[in-house]
Amino acid sequence: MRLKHPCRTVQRWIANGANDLPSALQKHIAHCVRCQRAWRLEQVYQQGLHAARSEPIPACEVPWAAIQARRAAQGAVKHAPIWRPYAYAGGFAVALVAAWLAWLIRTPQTEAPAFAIAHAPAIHQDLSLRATEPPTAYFAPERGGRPAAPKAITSTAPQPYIVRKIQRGTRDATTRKPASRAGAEMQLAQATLAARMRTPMPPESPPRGSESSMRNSEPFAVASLPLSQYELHYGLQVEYLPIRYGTPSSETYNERNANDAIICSF
Amino acid sequence: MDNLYAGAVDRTLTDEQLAAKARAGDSAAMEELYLRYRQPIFRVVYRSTRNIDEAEDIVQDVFLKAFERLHTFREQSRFSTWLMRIALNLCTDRARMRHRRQVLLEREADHKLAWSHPNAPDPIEATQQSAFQEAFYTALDQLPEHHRQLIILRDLEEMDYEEIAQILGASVGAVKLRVMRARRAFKAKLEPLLRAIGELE
Repeated sequence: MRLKHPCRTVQRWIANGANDLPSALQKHIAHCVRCQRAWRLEQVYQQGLHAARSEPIPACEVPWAAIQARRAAQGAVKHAPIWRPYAYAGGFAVALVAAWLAWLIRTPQTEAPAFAIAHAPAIHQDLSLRATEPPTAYFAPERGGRPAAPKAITSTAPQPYIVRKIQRGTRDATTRKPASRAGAEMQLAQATLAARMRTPMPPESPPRGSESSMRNSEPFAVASLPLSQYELHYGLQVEYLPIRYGTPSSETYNERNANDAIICSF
Repeated sequence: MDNLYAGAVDRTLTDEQLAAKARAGDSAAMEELYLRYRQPIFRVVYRSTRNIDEAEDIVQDVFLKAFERLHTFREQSRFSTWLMRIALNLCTDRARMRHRRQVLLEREADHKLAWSHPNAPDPIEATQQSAFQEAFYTALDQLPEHHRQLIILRDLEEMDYEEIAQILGASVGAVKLRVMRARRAFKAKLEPLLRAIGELE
């Protein structure tokens, strides 16, 4: 009998785990080295399997008590108090709220200059003073280190300014337009900021004690510290300082809150 | 006398009946199931790990997991098949862990401590075992876990294809194909080892 594909047939017999081959295949194996090698490997493999099967397997000596003990231990862990997950969730929520509150408290109340609210009359008049006098005049100490008293200002409010939004790279952003009262204050702040940008920086800042001395002095207008001459950017930090003008006895006295003055730092 | 049989369970009950009782929390039924399948599970696990302690650990884990998840046993297959599937899964997990540990050890030691392979045979035992057996088990260890399991189930434990198909959740044809591939892979690993010891020319 002559096989068409004897090598394939031998492979198929081997794959099926044959222990013996028909005589036709045995004749083929006798002169085919490849099939001979495969057949020999199969025989060794079967021999190894037989040895492994007959190898004694040790007895499992795990007692039932060990399983029971582990089950009990697992059960103890699993039967944790029912309120525990709720306690964890509650604790987490409290921590989250506390963190949020802390963040709210610690975050400085700063806004972009475009949204700063300023009080139009004081700042505007203050700017008018600055336009005529050098900035050092505001902080030049008198005798005994007392700062010079600023000029008195009137309580009449000026016409509101409409200020164009300060664009990046734009130094002069003010235009005069009629506007509503709400927007005017905000835009005046921008105008103030832009105007101060143009103001030259004084050689030094006023002395520390100047504020307390100014409190009891003549009618005054206190401006914020001079600003940088550099260009205004949106990313700059804005700090608000209190500003006062007038005297406590006069009509013009008004102590403003923290939004009255603006200091920009770069 | 009645107290002596208080915790006893009828040994003629089938696995499924015992499983139903165990699901209801009957500890005696669990114990009976454990005693029935402790050794068959251990045999397969031991052939896979070749380490008594590790095999016993796995057997404990198998039964703990089985009793814990008894409610998921739907009786669509036999209890023994379901249990064997758990055992094989745990063997796979262990083998994966062992492999990772070995890789880390080799990295740490920069291949200088390769002799400290946790599964390396004891030198005394190695001399006692024949070189042929050693080559056989070395080749078996080198196989991927899914191939090794098939060789163990089919060729060493001599399970029939239907049972293996149930354990693995595959068709009989697929199992036959996988067994054939596993044998081919095993022989490919075995051949150079046998040549090295002179079993093959």
